[in-house]
Amino acid sequence: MSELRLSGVSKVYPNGVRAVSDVDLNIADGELLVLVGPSGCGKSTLLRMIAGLEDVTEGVVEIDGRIVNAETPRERDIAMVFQNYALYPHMTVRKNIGYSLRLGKVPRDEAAQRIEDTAALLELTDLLDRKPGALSGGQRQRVAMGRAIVRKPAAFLMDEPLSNLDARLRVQMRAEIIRLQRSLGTTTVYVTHDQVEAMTMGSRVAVLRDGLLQQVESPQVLYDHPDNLFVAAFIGSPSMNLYQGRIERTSTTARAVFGAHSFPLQDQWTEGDGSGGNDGREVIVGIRPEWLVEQTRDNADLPSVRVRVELVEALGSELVAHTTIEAAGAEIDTPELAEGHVSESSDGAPCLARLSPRSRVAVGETIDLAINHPSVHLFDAETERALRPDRDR
Amino acid sequence: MDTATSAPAPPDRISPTKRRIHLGRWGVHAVLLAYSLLALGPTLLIIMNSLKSRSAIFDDAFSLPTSETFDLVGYDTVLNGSSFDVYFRNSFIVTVASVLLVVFFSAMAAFALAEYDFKGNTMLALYLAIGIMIPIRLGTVSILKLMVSLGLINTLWALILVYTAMGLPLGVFLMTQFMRQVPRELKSAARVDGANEYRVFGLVLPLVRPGMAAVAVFTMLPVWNDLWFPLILAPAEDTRTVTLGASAFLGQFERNWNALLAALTLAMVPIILLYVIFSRQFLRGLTEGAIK
Amino acid sequence: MVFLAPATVIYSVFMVYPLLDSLRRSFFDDDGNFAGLDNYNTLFGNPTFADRFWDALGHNFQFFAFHMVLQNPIGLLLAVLLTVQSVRGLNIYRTIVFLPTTLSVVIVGFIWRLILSPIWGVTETVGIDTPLLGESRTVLPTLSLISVWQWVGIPMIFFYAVLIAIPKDLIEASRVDGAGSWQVFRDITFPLILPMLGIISILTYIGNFNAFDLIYQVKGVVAGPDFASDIMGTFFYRTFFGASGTTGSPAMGATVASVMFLIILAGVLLYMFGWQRRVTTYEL
Repeated sequence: MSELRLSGVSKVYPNGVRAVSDVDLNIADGELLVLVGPSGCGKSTLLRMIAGLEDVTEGVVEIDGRIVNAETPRERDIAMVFQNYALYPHMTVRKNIGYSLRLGKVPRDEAAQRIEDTAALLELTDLLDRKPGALSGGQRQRVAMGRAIVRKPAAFLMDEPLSNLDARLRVQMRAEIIRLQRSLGTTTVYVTHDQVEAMTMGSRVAVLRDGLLQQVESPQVLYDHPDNLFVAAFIGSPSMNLYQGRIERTSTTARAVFGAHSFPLQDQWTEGDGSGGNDGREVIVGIRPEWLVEQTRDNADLPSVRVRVELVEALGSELVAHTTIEAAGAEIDTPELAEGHVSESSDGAPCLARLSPRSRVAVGETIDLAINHPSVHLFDAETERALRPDRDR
Repeated sequence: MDTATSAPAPPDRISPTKRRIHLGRWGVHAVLLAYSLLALGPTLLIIMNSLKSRSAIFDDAFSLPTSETFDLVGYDTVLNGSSFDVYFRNSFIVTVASVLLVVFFSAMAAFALAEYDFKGNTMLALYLAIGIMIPIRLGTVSILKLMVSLGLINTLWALILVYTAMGLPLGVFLMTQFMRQVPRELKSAARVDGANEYRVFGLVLPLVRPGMAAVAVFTMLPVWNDLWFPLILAPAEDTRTVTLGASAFLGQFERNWNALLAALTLAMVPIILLYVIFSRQFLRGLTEGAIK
Repeated sequence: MVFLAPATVIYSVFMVYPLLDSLRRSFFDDDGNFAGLDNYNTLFGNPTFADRFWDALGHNFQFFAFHMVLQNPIGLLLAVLLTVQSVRGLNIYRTIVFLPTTLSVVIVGFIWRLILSPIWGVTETVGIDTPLLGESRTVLPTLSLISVWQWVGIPMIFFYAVLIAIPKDLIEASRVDGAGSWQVFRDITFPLILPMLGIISILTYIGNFNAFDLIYQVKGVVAGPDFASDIMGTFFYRTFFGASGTTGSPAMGATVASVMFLIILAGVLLYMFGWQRRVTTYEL
């Protein structure tokens, strides 16, 4: 039973670099929390501070209400899975898994039994006497997991444990880790840069950017209600189309205008005092690629955008159309997210659409795409915070 | 920071981790500093005293030269009538030539060993590697006879050839390790582009520069510092290397301490300066070579 | 084949041929007549040779022991300290510690000759009043220590090279597993540098038989006092060239060299089959 609590945790390196700033985070007992963000966002540093491998510059790390800032890793009772597995190359699988038990002075018989049980759980029984050099990537990964599991620690810390596996194995191990975590019920912090992994694994996902916590929510809430432009762009694949725009409001209607297009805003935006407070507000308009559908007679009443098809990727299950739209793209100054959003050519901004595989769009055509969604995301152009009708009108 | 109100106050005692780390840090400094003193001390003592008058050397060896005790008489004696310039030139020629030959020839051989799969490849590699384990000095008797019959006694060539042979086994071994790391695709691409084998070799060379540096460093030290072969193969006055020259030269001043200290200082200061300037590259070469 | 020729030719002519030729010569007398094992009989049977030979060999092993017990552990300790993270200025220490290794033996020999000389009296201030290089009891240990002082940089840099090649992950994983500094070293670092320990030991062993320069420089070829600092290198030189009254003999020199060759070979084989077979080097 253990709960992790971070309060105002910061990391400043001696050279003045601020890797993590003032992070508050509670991880409930038995929860699997995913820390996600582009590389260099400080997520690994944060994890290492929890592990005790990195000094905490400011703030407090608590495990079960016990302040552990001053404790060495061995005193914290946490287990960690490393990106490169960090298996001891000179020890057999058995010794790798059992090393912590040996250091912890667990009686020999009990240790042997726990190693066997762990190996059985991970289907490693036949490999116990091999050395890591003789194992495949997936097997090594499982040994690394076993080394963590055998200890029955207060928490698992996993630092991109799947990033060295090939795509197929990664999907498989992802499911495996979820299953293990559920059945063991051990509090887990899982670090990844892959938002798909984050979405599929976490009961809650914490998005980190430049050392600052952006939003901590369940995957669905993150997807549906991103708090700010960064989260909106980072979560979802392909990522959200973003355009510079503004709110135009009359006494009865409100709409978001971007380039040559506009989208009618929900009623909430027009209710209230009717003073037209948001009229002319500079915003960034966000449209998910999966909201866009070919305009047909059936959905002619939906708002639409006119785009020019540049490239079509047929994926079998769906069809991703790369198009350009007459509008100004919005930029996010994080390099990892730059692709697809910054390239602002003279003939408009890029617009991605996930269409039905049966769509008959052809390169070079100009077509109308309907926005099959009751709302669009709006972000303040200055603060990049999400605008909510109930809050910001 | 509004979190300070909600967060529990950080523990105000110094963390045990921190304390341990600091203690450890000072311990590390203390040990390394002590050893550094041991490593530098004798050298500094010599340099320091070479600048003092004779009586000061003996009265108080551990004090720095002062205006009263400062005296360059030793350097006068040494600089008048020594042939250190010749010795330095000889050492320089021998070292540079041997290093170049070892680096180049071992790169060539290693290229062939790493690149071509021919019959006897492994045997040849083994044959060349045996020399790492056997000191070439054991063949001195025959080397001397050989050099006499080739008429190379008291020439720098004798030294260069022997040192090249001495450096090659390790050189070939190290270079082969480095050559193996050059991606196969790159060589294939060059061949597809129509490069002949010499061009492919030329293309690979810059990629194994760290290897060549490592081989150079490993060859340089024993060659520059060797006393045995200069003593046996080239003891003549005009072919003496610094090491042999200094040995004989220092011997002359058995009783003149000022001159001895000055001569020692003159002999080591250039090396120390060179080493300090290039220590980063030098030690990196050693480090890279050591793990192969 | 053009690539292989220069290296193979130079190596064969100036190294392999002389070594083999030396072996051959040990079976001939100085005039080139076949002598069978006569030279060996002289070396081991004639007391003027045999006594000196066994003395020198014994000294050689003492010399070797000093390096194994002092030079290599000190080198390892320094290397470990130099790879401690989060300590600043380590590069400066590394440069300084390696400095004596770059000095020539002649200079090192002379430095210590002067410093240890009773005439100067530096040692007296430190509380040593025996002439360390002058007495047969102390001369060999002193020379060994000088050699250790000079060469400690080699094991240091070799250990350093393997230590920095150990991934940081491994050390951290063991700390998370609950290991303290000493346990990390005992269970993780040390097993991983074990192969290097073997390499350094065999290099020390071989280098030991090359240790002619220092003794020649400090004590001359007679390796005094009373041969107390005589080792195989100086013995070989004297046998070959002769010294102080005795005339040298190339055939006997070749014989001594051949015996040294066998001793080295024994060590190398012991290393290869007794050690290398049992110690695996792990990909890191």
